[in-house]
Amino acid sequence: MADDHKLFAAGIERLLSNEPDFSVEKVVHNGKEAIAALDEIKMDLVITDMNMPGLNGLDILNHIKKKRWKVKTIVLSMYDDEEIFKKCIKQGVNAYVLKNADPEELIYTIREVMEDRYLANFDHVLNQAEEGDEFEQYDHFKAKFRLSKREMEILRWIVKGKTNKEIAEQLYLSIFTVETHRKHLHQKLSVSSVTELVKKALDMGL
Amino acid sequence: MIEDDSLQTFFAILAGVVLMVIMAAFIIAIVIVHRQRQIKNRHKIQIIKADFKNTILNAEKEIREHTLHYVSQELHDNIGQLLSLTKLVLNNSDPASVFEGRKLINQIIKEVRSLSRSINKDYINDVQFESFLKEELGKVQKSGFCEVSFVNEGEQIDFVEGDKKLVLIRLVQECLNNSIKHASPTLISIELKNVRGKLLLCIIDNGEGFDVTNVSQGLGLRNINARVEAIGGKVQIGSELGKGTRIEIELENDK
Repeated sequence: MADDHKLFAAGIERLLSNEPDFSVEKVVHNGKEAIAALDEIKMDLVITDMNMPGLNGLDILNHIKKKRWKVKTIVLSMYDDEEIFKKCIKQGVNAYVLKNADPEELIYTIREVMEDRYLANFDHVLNQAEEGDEFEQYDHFKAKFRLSKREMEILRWIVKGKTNKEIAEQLYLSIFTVETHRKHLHQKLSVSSVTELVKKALDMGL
Repeated sequence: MIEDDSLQTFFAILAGVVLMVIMAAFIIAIVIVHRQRQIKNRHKIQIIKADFKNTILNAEKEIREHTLHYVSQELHDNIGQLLSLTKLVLNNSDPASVFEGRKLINQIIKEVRSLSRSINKDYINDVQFESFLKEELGKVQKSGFCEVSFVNEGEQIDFVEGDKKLVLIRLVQECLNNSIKHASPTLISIELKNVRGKLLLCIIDNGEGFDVTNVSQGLGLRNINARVEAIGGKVQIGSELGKGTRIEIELENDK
């Protein structure tokens, strides 16, 4: 994990460490240290900031690409600029997340990247940082079943009768991701079929 | 005989007249040349004055641009990130997270306050030159780019002309910018010595350095030279590939 903003890096480290299946191996504050750390420790995933003194995020991606290291990469950036997004994709980044995205989106994205089901799409990147929660009126519902914003969104589409494939296209997600979310929805709402799921959602007024 | 005499007088008068005409022409010519020279001189002085004014105006403009750039960068890279982080921390509602969130908001308030100070248009006029140098170096260090050091010897500096301070401030910003952009040093130092109205300012980095004789790097150097000359100072630029760069500015700060 590389970020020159020390407080921010520490915050992300704490967020990720809260996930039982994640472990943050090393936090560095510039590109040089990141590459040195990559040389030294075997890691599954690098999360890097874009704008750092000396070597920046793109340089790190480029270095990883040149060395053909097998490590996965996520750029965590302040820039909601499509040009920068495209440059990162060109350097072979696995995912791009905005720093003001919901924290759970970063965690989702990490899982998607590790399971090779992340689809890189700029609209999706913007969507992750979208302000205002359109499901605010269902807050008690969300809270009761501990649903995330994404799960609420997917549930709404299911209620409308969309298929997994259609939802995936709508939300710029891979079909596997939608399936995973559906599985979670079934678990969290403790239902076993689509009919039950829809019924429950309608009962709650969604 | 009489005719001969009058002829002679005639020639004498003629010669006298010719001589006078020549002398008059000569005097007129001298006057004209002198006038022209005067006009040219006055013109030259005007050009020098205009140049000086231009230097000051440019310095003012560039300081303003520099500040705007700094503010935009701070908003984006520092305050924006702190806000994102706060959002992230406040996603959890346990007491520890709320406490952390409040700490972050306090930090943001502090950063915004210091930022608004640097936009204040009186800042450059009011700031002590020494504190300005310290603050500029502080910004470099805070960004995590490299280490800095500041040595200040001699008396406190009171600028007789505010313009000199302005140009010096711009020069320092320019030199620091060059080091950061091109030299990738691990240390930038500024040494300041003010003894009996004579000011010596050295800006030193231990970065990559450059070939002083290389023409392509000439423009930036010429700019620095021109500025120092405009405020009546002397500058020495020494650099060696792989060894770093040292810029020395000497300036009389008497009346």
